[in-house]
Amino acid sequence: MVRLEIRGISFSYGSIPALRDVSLKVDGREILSIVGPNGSGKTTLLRCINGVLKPKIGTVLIDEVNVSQLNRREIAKVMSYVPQIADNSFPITVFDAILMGRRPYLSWKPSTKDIEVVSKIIKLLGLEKLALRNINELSGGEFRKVLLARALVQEPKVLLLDEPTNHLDLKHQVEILNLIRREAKERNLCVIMAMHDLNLAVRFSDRILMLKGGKIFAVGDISILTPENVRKVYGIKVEVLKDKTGKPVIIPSIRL
Amino acid sequence: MLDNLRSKREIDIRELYSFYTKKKTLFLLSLIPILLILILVSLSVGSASISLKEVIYAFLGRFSSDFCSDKTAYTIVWNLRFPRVLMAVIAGAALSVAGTVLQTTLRNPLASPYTLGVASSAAFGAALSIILGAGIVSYGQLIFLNLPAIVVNAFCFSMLSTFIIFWLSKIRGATAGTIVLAGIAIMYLFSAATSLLQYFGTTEQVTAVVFWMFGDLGKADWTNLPIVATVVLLTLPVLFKWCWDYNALALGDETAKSLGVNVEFIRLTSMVLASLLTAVAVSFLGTIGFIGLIAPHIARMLIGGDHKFLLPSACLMGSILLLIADTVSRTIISPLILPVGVLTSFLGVPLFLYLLLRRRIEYW
Repeated sequence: MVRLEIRGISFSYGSIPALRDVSLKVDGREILSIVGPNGSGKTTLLRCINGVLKPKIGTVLIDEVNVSQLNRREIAKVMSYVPQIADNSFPITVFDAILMGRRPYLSWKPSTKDIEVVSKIIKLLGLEKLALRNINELSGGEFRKVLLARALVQEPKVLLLDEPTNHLDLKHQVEILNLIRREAKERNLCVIMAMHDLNLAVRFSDRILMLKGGKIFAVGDISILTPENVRKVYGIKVEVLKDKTGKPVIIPSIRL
Repeated sequence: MLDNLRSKREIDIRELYSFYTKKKTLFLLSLIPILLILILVSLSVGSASISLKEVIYAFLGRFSSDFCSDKTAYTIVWNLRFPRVLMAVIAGAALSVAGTVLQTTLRNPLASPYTLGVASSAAFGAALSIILGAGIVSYGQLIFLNLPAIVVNAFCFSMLSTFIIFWLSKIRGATAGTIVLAGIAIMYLFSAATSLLQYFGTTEQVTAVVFWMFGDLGKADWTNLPIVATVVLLTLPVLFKWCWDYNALALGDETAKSLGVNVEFIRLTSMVLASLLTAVAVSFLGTIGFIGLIAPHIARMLIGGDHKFLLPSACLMGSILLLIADTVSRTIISPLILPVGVLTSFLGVPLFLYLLLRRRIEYW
């Protein structure tokens, strides 16, 4: 079972501190949602875990291996990262785009295994009909699936997602999150995702991490989303009800 | 039963992809005989028409005296047309690959080899040497252009502008936006400087500058051809080697980085190499417009965005288009020869627009 451990990470953009002494442990098959207002350090934390940003202090360990001692290719074999925005892009087919996830493994020509892994994922996510379409012709939901597929063909142990449901309609939000949940359980993935929608976070994650001003405010199961905590982190009043299954439903009050 | 069905479906996608790959390989390979035929045709037509058979005999006459063709055909083919045709092939490939690489790394469909000011700085270099005197040699009433001095100057200035952009982007972070904006600023700066020089130049000098700036393959000969060819043959493999990195850029800078692509390095080095390809063509031939913008798009529309196929096909497409344009420019109102840059636009634009309109879906 994979274990991701973050020990006392701090990071600043120039003189502006973004993360302060963040420590965390996440196990395989677990889905952790990072919540917090804009600018609270969610994306920075994901980037630091992935090593795209190098934290000033602190270490990230995957199964006791320090990520900062791995090169980019080695990191890409244990960890995939799906950033929030993909810049608009030149045309390339869905198949070729997903195949890019095999880049850490391939030297020059993709092997039969690479092609097979990509084909399997395409089938798994129901993208067969789109396989030879260009990625810039896809809808938002389809494009997200392609990005997720690309992350999965990396065959990672840790999956980092930055707002995977951004710009998606209700159906696609649920569809993508169900896919993530299913794959996390089946592949023993350790999933960390930054989320804006608290109600979705509650329904699809095992644990919640609340970030405020680059510091961990609270971490624990979904019960930490109390009106009190949400008010302190987001600065607005909320009402927390219970749905039929007993999970919290968070309703913001209209008046700040 | 279900397993059977499932595995069958998986094979379908793999088969689909391998069929698609084979189709693209075939298309790519079919461009080579097209280019070869065009080379032969281009060697045979012109103000003095030489039959295809004579062309082949004259060509082989160099290597074996068994093919004793007539002396005129031999001279025309080997001294006049062959360097010009080869230059069209090489320069077309260079400009087209430079355009493709810049469009990809700058993530901008409008990027062309001249986006980063290579042409305007080369023109400035040329104008400087012509107007300040080093570029003109006069014997009494006769005025000649001192071409080596102009070429060297043009090349130095175009590389200078490239390194200014390189340096600016290095400081400010090599994002696509920074490089494009720095490039446009440099382009305007050198255009203004060239205008200023022309303002103070004599009529002959200004004419010489304008004449120099016209892209013309007639400047090709057996001395400058090897230089251009060497630069192109050394640069292309490096760019081809990065085709996976270019593909990864399609998913955005951050994803590419997370996959192990050194995005800044690839972007900056590609920019310098593309500028080198452009600079060497521009310095010897002048500004041949449009081929570097349009050939990559035509290649992309026909073969898709996978750089394993796109780069070689853009290369061949550039050669083919420039060769056709040059052949037409030599023959359309023969014996007058039109500037090839005009023809690249007149021939390339309709083809480009046709392909653009034919597509149902948004292309870039």
